[in-house]
Amino acid sequence: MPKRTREDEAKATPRLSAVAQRRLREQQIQSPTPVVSESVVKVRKTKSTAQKRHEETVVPPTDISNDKLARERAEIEQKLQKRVSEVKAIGRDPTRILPKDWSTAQMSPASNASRSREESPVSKPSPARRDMPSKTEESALARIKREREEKKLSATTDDEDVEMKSVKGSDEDEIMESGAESTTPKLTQVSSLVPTDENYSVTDSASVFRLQPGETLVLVGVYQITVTKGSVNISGAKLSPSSPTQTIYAPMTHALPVIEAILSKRKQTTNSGTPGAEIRITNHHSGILEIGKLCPTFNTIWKGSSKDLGGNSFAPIFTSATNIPIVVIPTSWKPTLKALTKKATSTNASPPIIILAGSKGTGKSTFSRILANRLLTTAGLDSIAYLDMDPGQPEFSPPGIISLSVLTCPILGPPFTHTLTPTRRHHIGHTSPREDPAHYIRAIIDLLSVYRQSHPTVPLLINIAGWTKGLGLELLHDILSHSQATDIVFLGGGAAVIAEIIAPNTTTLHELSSVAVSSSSSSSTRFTPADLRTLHTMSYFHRLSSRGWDFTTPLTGFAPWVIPYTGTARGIDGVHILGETIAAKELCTAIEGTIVGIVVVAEHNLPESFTPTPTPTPLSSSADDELLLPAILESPLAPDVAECKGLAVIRAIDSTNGHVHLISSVGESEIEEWERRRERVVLVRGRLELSVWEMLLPTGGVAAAEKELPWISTGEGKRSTGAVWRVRRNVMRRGQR
Amino acid sequence: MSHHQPRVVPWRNSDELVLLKNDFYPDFEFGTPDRRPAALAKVQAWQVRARVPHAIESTAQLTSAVLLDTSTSGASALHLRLSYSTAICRFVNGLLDPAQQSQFALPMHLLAKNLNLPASFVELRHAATHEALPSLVVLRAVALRALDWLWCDYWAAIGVERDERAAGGAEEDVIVTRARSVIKTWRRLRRDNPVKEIKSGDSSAAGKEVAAVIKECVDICKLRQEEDEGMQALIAALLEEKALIPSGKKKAAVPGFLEGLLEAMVEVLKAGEELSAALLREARAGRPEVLQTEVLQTEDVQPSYDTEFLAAIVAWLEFLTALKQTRSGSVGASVDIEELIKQALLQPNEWNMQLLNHLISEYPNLRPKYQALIELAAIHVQARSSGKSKQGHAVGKRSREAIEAEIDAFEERFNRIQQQRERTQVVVVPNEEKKTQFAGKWKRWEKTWIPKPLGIV
Repeated sequence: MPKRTREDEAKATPRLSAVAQRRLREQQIQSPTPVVSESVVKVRKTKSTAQKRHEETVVPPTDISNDKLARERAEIEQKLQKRVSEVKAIGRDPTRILPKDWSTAQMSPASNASRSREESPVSKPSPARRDMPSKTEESALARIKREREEKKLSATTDDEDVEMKSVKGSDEDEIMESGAESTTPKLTQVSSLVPTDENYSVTDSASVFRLQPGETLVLVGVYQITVTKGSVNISGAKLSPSSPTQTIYAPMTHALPVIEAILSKRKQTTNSGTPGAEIRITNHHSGILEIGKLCPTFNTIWKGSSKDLGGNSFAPIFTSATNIPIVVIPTSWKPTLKALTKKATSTNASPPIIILAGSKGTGKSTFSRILANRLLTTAGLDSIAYLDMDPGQPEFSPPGIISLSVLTCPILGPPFTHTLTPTRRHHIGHTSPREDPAHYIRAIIDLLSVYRQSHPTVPLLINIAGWTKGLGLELLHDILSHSQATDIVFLGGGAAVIAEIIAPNTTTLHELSSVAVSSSSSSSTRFTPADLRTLHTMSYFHRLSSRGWDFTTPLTGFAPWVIPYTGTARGIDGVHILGETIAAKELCTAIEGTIVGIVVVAEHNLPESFTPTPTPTPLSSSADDELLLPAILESPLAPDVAECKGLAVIRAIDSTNGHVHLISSVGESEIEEWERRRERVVLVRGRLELSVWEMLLPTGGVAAAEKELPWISTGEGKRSTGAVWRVRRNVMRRGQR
Repeated sequence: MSHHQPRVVPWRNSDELVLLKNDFYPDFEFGTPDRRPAALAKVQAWQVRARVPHAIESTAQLTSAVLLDTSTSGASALHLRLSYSTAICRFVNGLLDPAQQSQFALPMHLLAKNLNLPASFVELRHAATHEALPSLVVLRAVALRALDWLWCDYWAAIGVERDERAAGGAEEDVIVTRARSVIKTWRRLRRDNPVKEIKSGDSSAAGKEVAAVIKECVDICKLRQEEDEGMQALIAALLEEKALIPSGKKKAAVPGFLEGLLEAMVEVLKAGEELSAALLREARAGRPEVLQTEVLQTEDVQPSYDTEFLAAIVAWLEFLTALKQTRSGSVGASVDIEELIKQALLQPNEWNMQLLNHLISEYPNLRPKYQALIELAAIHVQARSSGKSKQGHAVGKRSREAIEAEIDAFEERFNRIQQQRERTQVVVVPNEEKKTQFAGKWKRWEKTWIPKPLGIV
C-alpha cells in the first residue's frame, strides 16, 4: 500500500464519502444480512457499522433483525425489547451505556486495506452527519483528536523504536486509527455479548458469562478465567472445562484479548439447553494493578476508558464511547495458521522452525502469540520453543535482552506481564542490534545451538524485529541461513526482499496481510514504544520471585544486595561498558545509578588480560585517599561462553569499602547456582534507560526531598540545543511518496 | 519556584554541569591547567549513563577536534579536516533536525534562520557532506565560531539559571555569576566579529545579541542599587574576565577588541542614562575610580602586572578623560581631572606619567598649575626605574604561579575529603545480631532499609 498523507486523505474525501454513503443506503435497504462466518463477526469496529448503528437508533429497533443465527432470533428480540424498556426507563441519562445488539450488522467482507481506505474519509465528519452528534461531543472529539495528534508527533520523534527500515508501519495505522476515531461520538460495540439476566450474573466471588457460539466478550484488567461449559477461544488459545484456570492480563496498553465462544459441533447434543459456553471470571490481584501509583503514565492502563474497577481487578467492556483496540485475527491468517499447525503436529518430519518477519506494527507478535497458543492448546503439543530476537520489544525478557524460552502454557497477556524465565538469555544492552551487529548474530547463533541441543523435538518460533532493509536485511539473511528455517511468515507488504534470499526448496514463504485495525501491540494509540519499554522494565524489576509484583515503592525503597568486588569473597568480578572505553576515574560517573546486565562466564573464559582483583585505584597522587573501583573488562564477552542472568540496577558504588549495591530481581537460587558452578560475574552496561519514577523517593518524590536528587532535574527543559537530539525518521521530502 | 516534571539528566547535580561549563570554556589568563581533556572524559562517561543534550555533545565533539588540532599528537591535516567536518556536521544536523516539525522537510536555511544560526554553518555542513572537504583554515574558524555560538545559546545560561533558583542568601553570588556570564558572552560576540560597529537599533542577529548583552548589563547594574552591589559586581566581572583589560595571550586581537569594547561600554552607559540618571552618576563616578585605584596601586605590585594590563588601564583612563568624553552628558563628565592628576602625582610611576602627559595635553588650561610638579615626578620615576632589577620581576611572577597551583591542589583535595566524609557518614555499622541473608557471595542489606536516592550509599 503506498504511503498516504493527510493531504491525500483530505483530497480523497468527497469521492470516498460518496462510496460510504451509498454503502449506507444499501445497507438500510438490505434485508437481514446473510449468515456470515465467525471471522467476519469480529470485524465490528468499522465505520460503516457505526454509521449504520447510528441510523438505526432513529428507527424502531424491532425493525432490525440481523442476528446471524435464525433460530436465536426470538431470544434476541426478547433482549431487545428488554433493552428498549430499559432505555426508556433510563431516559436520556448519557452516563448509562447502551449496548446495541444489532451492531453485528454485517458489511460485506473486504480486505483490510480496502476497508481502511473507505474508512479514512469519514474521519472528518461530513456535513450530512454534523448535525447528529451534539456540540459538546464534537468539541470533545476535536480535543481528543488533537491530543492524539500531539502524542503521535512526539511518539514519532522517538528514535528508540529503532526500526531498521525506512517506512514506518504507523503510516498505515494512522489512517486506520483516524477511521476508528471517527466513531468516538457514539458508543461502539466492543463485546458482541449483550448483558442480560440470563447471560451475565455477578456474585461476590465471580462473574459468570454465558456466550452463544460466535458471541464475544472483552474484559479489561487482570482476571482468571475458568470455562465451566463449552469452550472458548482467547488469543488463539482454546479453553474448555478440562483446561486449567488461566490468568489473563488485559491492559489498555495493548489490544484487548477477545473471548469468543466456539461453536462445538460434537457436543451440541450432549448439553441440554442452549449451546455455547459458560465462563467464570474471578479477580486476580497480583500487584501489577498498582503500577500507576508509581508511574502516572500508566495510571489508567488497567481500567476502561473512564470507569473505576471498584475493588475488582477487571471489568467487562460491552460498549465504549472511545476507541478501544481489541485483538482481531484477520481471516486471511487462518489458512496459514492451519497449515503451520498441521506441520507442527505431523510426526514424520522434524519439527518446523518458523520465522516471523515483517515491518513493525504488522502484527508479528500477535501472530506469534496466536500461533503459539494454538499449538499449545488445540494441536496438543506439550511445549514449543520461542526464540525472541527483538531487543526493543522482547516477549519474554526485559528490553535489551534476547532469549530462548520453552513455553508450556499459552501466552495470555502482553510481554510485561509474563513471569516466565527463559532458558537462555543474552544481553544486547541496546534496544537495537545496530550498535553491534556481529555480537548480536553471535548471540542468536548461540541461542539456536542451545535449541538444537536441548529441545530438538519441539517446534521453534522465531520472532524477529521489524527489519526489511539495509542492515536489518543483512541480519535477516544471516539468521535465515543459521536457523535453517522451514517456514517464513511475512506480514505486511515487501515480502519480495525475502523471497530473493530464501532457498525455495527447503523453506516455505507465507505472505500475509498485516493485522487489522489497531490490534497489533505496537500500534496502540496511547503509548509509544519507549513507554512500553519503561513499563516492561519497571514490571521486571518489581516482580517478586514468587508470582506477583510489588509496586508499593520505587526502586529507591528496595533493599539492595551488597556485593564486594574486591578480595577473594568478591561477588562481582568486573564491569564491562559496551562500545566505550571509560577511564577508571570516570567509571562511577558512567555506571552508578544505571541499569546493567548480569552476565556470568566460566573463569577460564575470561580474557587473559583481565585481572579480576582490582587494585586500589589512586585517584590522585596523594596516597592517603585511594579509592577502590571495580575492575574494568575491556573486551566484550562472547555469547557462546557468557550468559545473561537478568538485569540489575547499580544503586550505588561504595568505593571506600569496595562494595557495589545492586537491585535485582534475580532469585537467590539462581545466584547460588552460578556460585556453585564457580562462574564469574560481570556487570555489563549497555544504554538501557531507567525510568525517572524509579529514582524518586517513595514519599512525595522530588518536592519532598531536602535537596536535589542525583541525576534528576526538576528544572525547565531546555529548548533546541538543550534538548537531547531525538531522531525523526518519518520526515518526507516534497514529492516523496 | 516552580517544579517541572522530574527528568533524568546525565549530570549528578547542577554543580557538575557548571564545572563542565568552566572546563570547556576555560580562562587561560592565570596559567590554569587545561581541563578540556577532563571535560571530554566526563561527557564520554555521561553518554554511557544517559542521553546527553545536543549542545553538550556538540561542544565535546568540537572541542575534541580543536584539541586534536592544538596538541602535538601528530594528526595529519586529513585527520583534522575529517574531525572538524564531522563535529560541525553533527552540530548543525543535531540542531536543525529536531526543528523539522512538519511532515515534509523544510529547507535547512530556513530552519537555521529560525534558530538564529548563521547560514554559513549550514553551507559548510553542506560542503563537508556533499562537496569537497573544506579547507582546514575554514574548518578551524567555523569550529571556533560554533563553540562561541554554543556558549551564547546554551552555556551562558547554565550556572546563572541555577543560581537564580538558589536561595536569596546567595544573591551576591548570583549577581556576580550573572555579571561574569554576560561579560563572557560579550567577549565571544566580539571575537566573532571584532571590527563590527555597534549601533543602537541594529536589527541584525548579531546586533540583537549585542543589544541583549547591553540590556543585561544595565539590568545587573540596577540590582540592589542601594548597596551598589550590581554595579560592583559588573565592574568586578569586567576586570576579572579581562573584558576591559585584554589578556596577554590575545595580542593580535587587542586593538579591535578594545575599540569595540569601548564603544559598547559607552552604549551601556548611555542606555543607563536613559533608564536611570542616578545609575549613570554611579557609573561615571564608579568606574574611573576603580581604574584609578588600580593604576595608582601599581606602585607596590607593579612586578606582578604585565605591561599589557597597565597599558590597557592607561588607555582606558585616557579614553575616559579625553576632552570629548568629559563634556557634559558624556561618560567621563564627572571625572575630577584635577583630583586624578593629584593622585597620579602622589604615586609617580611610568604609567602615571603617561597619564599625566595625556591629561596635560588634553586640558592645556591645567598646564601652568601642574607642569612643574609633573616634571619633578618624571625625574623621580626615571631614577626608580633605572634602579630596578629585571630579575625581581621574573621571580615575582613565578612565585605567583606556584601559589596558584598550590591553592588549586588544596582546593581539589578539600573537595575530595569532603566527598569522602559525605560517604563515610552514612556507612553502616555492621549489626552482628541480625541474621544475614546470603546467596552465594551476594549479601542482602542487613538492617532495615530506609529508602535513599540512587547514588547515595
